Amino acid sequence: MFKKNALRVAMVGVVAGTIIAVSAGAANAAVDPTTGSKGPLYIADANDGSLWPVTTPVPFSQAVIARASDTDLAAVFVGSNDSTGVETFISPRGQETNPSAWLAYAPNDFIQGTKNVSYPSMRLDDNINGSLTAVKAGGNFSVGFAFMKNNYLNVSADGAYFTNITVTPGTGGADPTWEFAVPSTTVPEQPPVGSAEINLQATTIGAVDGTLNLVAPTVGTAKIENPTIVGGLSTSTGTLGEFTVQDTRVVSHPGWTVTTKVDPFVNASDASKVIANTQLGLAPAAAANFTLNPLVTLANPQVAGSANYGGTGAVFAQAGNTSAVPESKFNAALTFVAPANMPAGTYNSKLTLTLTSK
Amino acid sequence: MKIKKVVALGAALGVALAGVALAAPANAEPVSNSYVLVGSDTLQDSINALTNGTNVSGSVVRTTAAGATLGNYDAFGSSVIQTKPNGAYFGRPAGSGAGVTALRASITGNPYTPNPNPANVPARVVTGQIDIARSSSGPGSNANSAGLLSYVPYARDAVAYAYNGSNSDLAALTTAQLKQIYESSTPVVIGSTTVKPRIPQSGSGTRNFFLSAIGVTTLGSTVTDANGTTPENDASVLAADEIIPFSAASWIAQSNGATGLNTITNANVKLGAPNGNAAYTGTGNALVPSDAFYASSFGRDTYLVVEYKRVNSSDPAYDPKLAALLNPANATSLTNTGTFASTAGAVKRKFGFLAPSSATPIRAYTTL
Repeated sequence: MFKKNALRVAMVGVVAGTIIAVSAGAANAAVDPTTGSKGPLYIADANDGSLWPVTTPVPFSQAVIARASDTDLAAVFVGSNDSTGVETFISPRGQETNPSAWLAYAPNDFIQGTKNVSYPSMRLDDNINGSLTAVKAGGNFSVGFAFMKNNYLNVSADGAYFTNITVTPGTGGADPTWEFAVPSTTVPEQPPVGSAEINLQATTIGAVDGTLNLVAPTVGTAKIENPTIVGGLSTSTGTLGEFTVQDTRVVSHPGWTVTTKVDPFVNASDASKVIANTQLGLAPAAAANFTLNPLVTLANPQVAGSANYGGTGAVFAQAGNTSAVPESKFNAALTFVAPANMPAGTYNSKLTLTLTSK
Repeated sequence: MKIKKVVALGAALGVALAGVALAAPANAEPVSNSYVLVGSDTLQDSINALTNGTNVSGSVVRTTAAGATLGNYDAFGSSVIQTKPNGAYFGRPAGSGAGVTALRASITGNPYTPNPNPANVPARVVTGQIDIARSSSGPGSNANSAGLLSYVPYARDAVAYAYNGSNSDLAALTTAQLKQIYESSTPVVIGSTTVKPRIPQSGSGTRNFFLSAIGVTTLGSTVTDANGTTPENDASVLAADEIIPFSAASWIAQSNGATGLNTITNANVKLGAPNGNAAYTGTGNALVPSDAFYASSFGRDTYLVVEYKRVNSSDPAYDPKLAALLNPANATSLTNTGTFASTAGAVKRKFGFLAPSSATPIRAYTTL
């Protein structure tokens, strides 16, 4: 039925997504992968910042630090004004953001003049408050640091960065040792705030001279910013950008349908890494400061992780044949959630909007 | 009879005041949870930063003894200190020499009396109350390969002189001029300035090193505080036309804002450049030690002094935690000389220190 008197206008874009992949898999098979950390945390030698070999157990008293990136030595852990302090901690797994459950902890601090943190100590011995007795007895724990507020009572919105560890008790008076999980992927080089520009470059084919048009910028750019970790997964958000449907077929007014089709996301540096289009959430909406005619109906949002754009595309919006709606302006909220087992990087896709007359 | 009563009353008051001072120090410092350091003023600020934790290098660095906090006691402050739980109150060791003397007393059990001792603090047994002495000078003639103490290199410092002058007369004194100034018993005039030499208290390592560097063995009478208690690295003591030996590291640290106290804010107070060689480069709060000056005869290695057998792994008294504190290979040990932000060495550089010329400990004192 969509083919009846069809006027098709396609808008094709490129969606580039950035992922922070957190501990999707542990390079150290002996330690369970970390889940729930605000971001990746890499264990490194305090002497020079070199990454600590994952196969080498860390002595309890060894001076090691946390790095925010395995490739950028200068990368910092980014905080905000919500945070008023920093503490390192050792906790039972799952209690990383519950300071009252921490086994041992110690004050740390921001970089002077900022709310960011650089190279916080991960030496277990340095957690001088609480008790290390249970930790030294061995077992599974988390070690990391947290951005704090309320005079160190609570973890702030900037969250806790940590890694799973497994402690082996020392024998014969020897230092206990510990092994750690490592994020399995590489964090892309990007501004330290985690912002990344995700461009949506929209082009149009020549508009059909008639009474039904889809108008979009010939070159459009949208930004998807602030990738954050939600439920342990990289989640980025942005907007599609405005486009307009014009319908002046006042006599026939048959109505129209806009559909959305999304291609799979392909890693820019490794074409073998592909993320399904089900990971792109899309919530159709009216453009800002524009009220849609009641005759226009928006489709339900597509939810990231379970989106279904079908083989020919999913309905974005439509209008019936009651009367022609001269102008309808749209936009959409985009949410891109990266699967845990995919490497960080830039992913490209094509998004096609198709306007069809009923 | 009346005269005798007055004298007796005065004596009684004197005793009572001294007793109050000993029983309740006005500024009691916390006791240590592990090891204790005393001695040199020059090293105290950088070690305070390390033991209390600091982010001056760009990353929080804190030196602990396997998680136990250290006690680092300033050279100056209340006249007596208590360093360990339930330990004796004893006279605060003010300077490198006093620190080593106190460490020796801590080892031998002989009563310790501070020298100088302006508060007349009585001798106290301080057995086990001190573990490390900060020393801004080496053992000198006390060095001996069978020594019972070990001088572990801490960092490289240099000694210049601070002066208070409104012109450049004292800006670049030569070694010969400095020797003349400190040996003379008549005023020395440089340009239009009659120089007034000052000197830190007699236990000061900075004092001893400086006098050695300029070849002075006997101070002239123009040095009015030769037997006084003038603190070192405190430029606030300088009146117009006065000069005093000053640690280059301390000057840099104060200018960089790394220390809690800044005594060099007087616009006329400057750090002199012996023989025209400046101790640092840069300006304001971004001073950097001059490699050339620190390598000159005005440069000196500084040390942390410890009982040798406690860091000798083949001795039954070997203490691995204490040894770890003094092992430069440990990123946050007191003797580390690294440059990465999370190392103790990076912190020390912010305090104006460079790596020592040698990392080899020096044994000293065959008898304690």
